[in-house]
Amino acid sequence: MSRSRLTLAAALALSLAGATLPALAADFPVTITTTGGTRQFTVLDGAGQAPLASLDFGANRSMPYKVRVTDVGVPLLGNDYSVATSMSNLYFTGAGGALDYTTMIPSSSLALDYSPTNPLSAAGLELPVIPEFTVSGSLSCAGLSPVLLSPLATVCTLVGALTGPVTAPVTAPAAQLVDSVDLQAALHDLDLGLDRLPLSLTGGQERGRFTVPASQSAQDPMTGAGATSKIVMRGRNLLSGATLNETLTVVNAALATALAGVQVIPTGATPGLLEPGTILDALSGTLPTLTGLIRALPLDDQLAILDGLTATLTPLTSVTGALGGLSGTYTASPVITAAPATTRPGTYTGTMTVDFFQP
Amino acid sequence: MPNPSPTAVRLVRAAVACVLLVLLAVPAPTASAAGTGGIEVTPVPGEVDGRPVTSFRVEVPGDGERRIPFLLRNVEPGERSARLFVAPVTRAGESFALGRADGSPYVSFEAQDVTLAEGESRQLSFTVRGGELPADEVLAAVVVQVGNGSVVQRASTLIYLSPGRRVPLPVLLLVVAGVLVAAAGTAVALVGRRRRA
Repeated sequence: MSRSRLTLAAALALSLAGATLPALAADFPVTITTTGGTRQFTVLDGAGQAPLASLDFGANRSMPYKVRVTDVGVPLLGNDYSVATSMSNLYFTGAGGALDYTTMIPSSSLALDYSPTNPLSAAGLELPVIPEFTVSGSLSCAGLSPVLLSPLATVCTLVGALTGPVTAPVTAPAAQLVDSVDLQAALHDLDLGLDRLPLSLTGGQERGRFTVPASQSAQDPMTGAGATSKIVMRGRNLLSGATLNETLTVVNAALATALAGVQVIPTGATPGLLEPGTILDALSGTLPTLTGLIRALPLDDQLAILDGLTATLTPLTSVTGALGGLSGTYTASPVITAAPATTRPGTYTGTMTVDFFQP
Repeated sequence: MPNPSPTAVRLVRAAVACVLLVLLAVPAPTASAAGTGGIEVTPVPGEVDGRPVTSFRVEVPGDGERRIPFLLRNVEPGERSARLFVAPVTRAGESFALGRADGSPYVSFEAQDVTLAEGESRQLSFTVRGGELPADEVLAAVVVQVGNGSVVQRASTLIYLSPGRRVPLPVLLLVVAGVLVAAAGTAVALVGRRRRA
């Protein structure tokens, strides 16, 4: 190669370098493809029917509401969220809606708690977040380990043949009642395991007063800096299929230990006790296909399937590819209560801010 | 404690199993978004290294600025409106707190009211200004806010800011140019030596 050619090559290399390097810091065109999941959060009234728009504490100075997160095909791996509530002071509202910022019910008189309205509360069993799932798509048995596939085979076949809710007559399982207090204690002991599942059954529910007020509006002398924010719900999803496997192993082991002392009592023997089927109803929510399917089978088959489903779950890592997404709703039922006030009678106005964070 | 109840154990286990079955039943998506009032924010690109992206992770340049694109979508029926802004976020343990709109010294975005028709998508971007980051974690968020009477709903998609390349671009250019010149000179010298040999 001649010296002139080498010089030319060097100059070309330098010019290319000069032309390319600045582009590293510049914007570049992006093609967007969004076929993925969605996650919406909503604040609803106490009945969970309509968006919450007003703060009505009523005669009992209590305002229940619901916070709902709705997932549709959301990626399962490492996709957490949290929802928190803050409150402004409540200001006296004069004629025409003018606010008197000197006459107030301070936010510190308002406290957050949780509603005993979930389906298990009648038995004294409190799950602060009720998950409900909707099965969509088809249940895939491919890739399951032989150990897991065997007990699932019947369910896979039946679910695959169904396109809607099961309409077969439901045979009630053998009526047995479990001492709710013992069961509650048992579930409480399982906090660690359940908290690591893709849905948050426990943890994250903060209680207490809103010590520092949020801002009611731009006119509010309270700026909202450092406002007290209390978590009402937290979702923690999987890190990996291996984590799920590990978690279920822990949960199963813990269940075997923690429920070892639960007392079984004949039907109707003692009021206020919890029917085990209620647990399944509450936790499976809108999962009629699976629960209906299982219940339609003879009792022995029900128990065999239920037992077999969780008998052995290893190696679950082989189905990691199938752990694609999650659809369902998570509903928390907080209540804000107001302490008795000696302030001027009348209408007070404030703002509740509900923050959803997706880390 | 009294004796175990096999049925209770089975039913609670079955609840766990139901969860597992649901996990197996939903097809895999390729991106994820979060929002409120029907309007969602999706980071762009929505997938990195085969994993869905659910937040922004941005390297702050030493100087200059970067524009970070994101997608805004209406995922619910009918027209939807929301307030869109960027705000700093602080974290205490597992809790996050949102600062005032446009309060981040590193991230800027013109707060705006947006209205999207059913199914409409729109690409927007925020700007990350260059500069030195403090040693502490620096967070911000793209916030979708919907007001409904006395209730304000805000959905925040977090922006994680980390220090970017710290060698100024002119210096980097000089270094690269020097290396290339040295390489070219070495090549010339080698060719000349071969010819002389």
